Amino acid sequence: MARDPIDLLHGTLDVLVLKTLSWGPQHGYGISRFIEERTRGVLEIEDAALYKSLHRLERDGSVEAEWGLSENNRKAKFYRLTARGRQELRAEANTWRQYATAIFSVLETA
Amino acid sequence: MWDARALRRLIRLPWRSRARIERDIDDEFQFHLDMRIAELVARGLAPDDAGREAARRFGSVDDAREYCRSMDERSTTEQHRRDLVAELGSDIRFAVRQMQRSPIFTALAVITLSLGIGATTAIFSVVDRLLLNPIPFADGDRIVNLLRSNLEGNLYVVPTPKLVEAWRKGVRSLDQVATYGYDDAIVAGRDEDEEIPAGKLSADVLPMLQVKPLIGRGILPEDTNIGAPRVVVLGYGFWQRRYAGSRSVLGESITIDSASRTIVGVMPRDFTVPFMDGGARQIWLPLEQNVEAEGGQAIAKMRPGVSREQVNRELTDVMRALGAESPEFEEWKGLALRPQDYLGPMTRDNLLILLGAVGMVLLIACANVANLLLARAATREREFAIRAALGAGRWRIIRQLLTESAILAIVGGALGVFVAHRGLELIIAMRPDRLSELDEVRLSPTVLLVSLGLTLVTGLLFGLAPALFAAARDIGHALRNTTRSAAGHLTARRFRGALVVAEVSLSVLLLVGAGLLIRTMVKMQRADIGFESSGLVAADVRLPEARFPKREQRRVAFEQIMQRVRATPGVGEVTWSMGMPPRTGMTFGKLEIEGRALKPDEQESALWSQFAAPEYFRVMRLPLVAGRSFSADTGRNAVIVSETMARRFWPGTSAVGRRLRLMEKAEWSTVVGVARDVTVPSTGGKGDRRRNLQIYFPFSGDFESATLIIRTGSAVADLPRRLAREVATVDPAIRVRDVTTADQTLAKELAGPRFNMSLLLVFAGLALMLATIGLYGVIAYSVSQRTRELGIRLALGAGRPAVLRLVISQGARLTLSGVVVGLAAASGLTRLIQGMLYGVGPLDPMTFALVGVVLGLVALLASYFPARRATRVDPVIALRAE
Repeated sequence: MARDPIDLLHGTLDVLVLKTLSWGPQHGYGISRFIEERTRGVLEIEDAALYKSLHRLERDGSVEAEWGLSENNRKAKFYRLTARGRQELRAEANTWRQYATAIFSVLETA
Repeated sequence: MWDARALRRLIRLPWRSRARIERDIDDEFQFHLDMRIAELVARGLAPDDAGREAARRFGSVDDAREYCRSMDERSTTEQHRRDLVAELGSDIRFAVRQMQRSPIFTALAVITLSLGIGATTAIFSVVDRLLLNPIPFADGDRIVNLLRSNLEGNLYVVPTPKLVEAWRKGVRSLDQVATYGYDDAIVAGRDEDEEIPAGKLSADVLPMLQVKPLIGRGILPEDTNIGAPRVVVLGYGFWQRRYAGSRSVLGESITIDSASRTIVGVMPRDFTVPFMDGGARQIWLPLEQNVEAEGGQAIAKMRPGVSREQVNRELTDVMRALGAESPEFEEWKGLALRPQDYLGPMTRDNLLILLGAVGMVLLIACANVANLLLARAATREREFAIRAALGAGRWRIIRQLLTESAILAIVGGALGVFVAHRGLELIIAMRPDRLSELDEVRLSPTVLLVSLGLTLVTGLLFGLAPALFAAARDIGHALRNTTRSAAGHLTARRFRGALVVAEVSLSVLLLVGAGLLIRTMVKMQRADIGFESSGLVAADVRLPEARFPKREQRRVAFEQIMQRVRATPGVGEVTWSMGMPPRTGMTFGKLEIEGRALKPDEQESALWSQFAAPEYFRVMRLPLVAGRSFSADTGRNAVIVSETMARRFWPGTSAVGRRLRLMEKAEWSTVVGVARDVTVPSTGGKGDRRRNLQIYFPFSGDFESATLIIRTGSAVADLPRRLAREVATVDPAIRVRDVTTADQTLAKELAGPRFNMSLLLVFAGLALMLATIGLYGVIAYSVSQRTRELGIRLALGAGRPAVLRLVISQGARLTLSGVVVGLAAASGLTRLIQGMLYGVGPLDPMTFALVGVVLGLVALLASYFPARRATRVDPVIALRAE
């Protein structure tokens, strides 16, 4: 599964978003908070990039969007993983695992 | 929230507009920023700082907004497309299920549509070929036939090669000029020689028509030189028949008219040359460039934008210029004719009338389909209401109905193509001889597309009407109304009643037309033609010029043949003539009557002429009303005239002994007898009175071919073979062809009227059938809707006959209105077919009455079956239903 590393990094945010949504529907702000907490602030994602990713995934059919009510009773746009998104997540996660293993195996030999 | 997905799909939100997309993105971003600020404030930041920090962490809002907008727009479009496809698929599946559920409705609608469309397409193909696009070649509308005509315009003659050459050089409005001729050729076969129709082409015919041979080459300029190597191009049919379509025929030799020719090419299937009579040719030979030849057909392509008047003027100018040196051109003018000019006004009118008739059939078919769709829409009212209540939009329901009618239309159209195909075959099989162009009629792709379009429009139009009816109805009202109370809405019922009345009246119109034509046929067949046709047989006998070069030799041969044939068992009397009446010759000339000044138009009379041997009148049983027949010692200057001619030129006195001549300064001919008129019934009101100006000349040995007329005692089997055998004993080179009975010849004269009658009869039959279907549909539907009412009537003691009467009277009312309207329309419109009638007036009371009765009976039948069903309604079940 040889892939352009730049391409891989580009897809990073997408795979994080998909993973986040695999726990349930969430709005953009929620996703942003979730990733920050999970990575303990190491990955601070620019919000603009997050929304670009969400709308791109929506176009690809990996997520679906629907307006709903947020926890503080405000109108918010919720995203939800589709069957296709779930598939995508599985494939991407695999690629990442292999990639990370490869990087680690180089780094750990020192 | 996600559980509502099913519902959301049912009531799909409209696709988002651009403004809506932008607003959604702004709302989404605003929500995000607000949440972020709230979070930061909760952590203790001042509101201003929190706002700045939130904005910093968001990054470029404009960039993100632009990106998200383009993504959303794309996904909206894709979604739109996916939804459409999915909905169309479900519409189609649903429509097919609906049709399976009511197979009778579907079958009736499809049959109705296919008959209407098939008939229209077939007739339109004919009209297209004969009237609109008669020359199916590149720039066919600019191709004309060049002829010369006398100044009176009643005689057309083909130009001589010299004249064609002068026209080619001198007429600037013509682009190309080509010539061709035709003759029969004798092709040597393995066992037996074969006589086949051949065409002779100049080298410029194929380039002008832009036709390329199927294989090999066409006729080249060098082929047409005198003394050039002999070549032949095969017609497709001949190639298939004789060589089984083998491509290796090129270069082979074939003996044609006793000379060996090399096969150089094969023409495509259906190839024919414009203005060529007598159908397809089987082989094509080069037309020799011989200036002294008699001349043949000339065709030309006019320059674009040039009028025919201009061409005619230039053709005539060239002839005038030529007339200075060759006086024979002086009294002629040039003419460029289109194929339509040959059809004559009669044929053109007939075609238009047929087109009108077939249009009526299509109208009836449309009305029928509309009726069926409306009836069904009414029974499905509750279904629509329920679907609307479940959230299906009005447009969605309309689209569903449109899908159903479009499918009906497409299936009906496809079957219609089949019907058109078979119909066209039928038309070609029935065609009269003189419409040989019909053989080349094919279902043109244009016509096919037009009628498929017609199908769709028909289907959509009448699919839409019930859809609008359904959609316009208040949902709650429809839901409350159960089927038992909704006995059909008054407007819809009236509309459908009106449709049936229209159908019936159109059928009445067509039936009256067909009825008048049937009466015409009967009258024509019973008409007194002047002689006794039954038992008469004619045969063409040809004495080859090579064997019988002298007049006296031919006279002796004719005499010997007569003796031999007369001795044949079964043969009664025998005589010679030129053609079997009414297919005899015509004489044009300047008629002069001794001792009587004729008006110019009388002088120019075209006389029907016949050459008759002395026994002719006896054999034909054509009585002489005065004088006597020719005899063996009659000189060449004796003539016999018809009664009409005698009355016209010698009124009040006897014509016998008077003299006339047909050419200036010729010898006078003496009238020796007066024969009864030979009258061939012809349509078109009074007919051509000049047809009965008939003149008979004594038959002599002048001709190399003549018609042997035989009166047989009884039907003689294998007469052609016996004749050939007897004639061969005189000389084996003599050919006997076209052995036909007089009745066959007469039948050919009636072929035109019979053709019109058959087509109109078919249309009228179709119309009647469709109208019956329509009437049946309306009555049957109304009975099914009134089950409860009829049940109550029965329960309250109404007898079954009363219920029967009730239902039948409903059908009778509709039929009666239709018949009245139809007969009224017919009395106004039958004038249009007056030209097609003989011996019967356009307002023939018998036909009108009969059509009324026929329709009444059919209507009775169409309402009887539903009515009988109505009487079998069980009151208990009817009342309990629903």
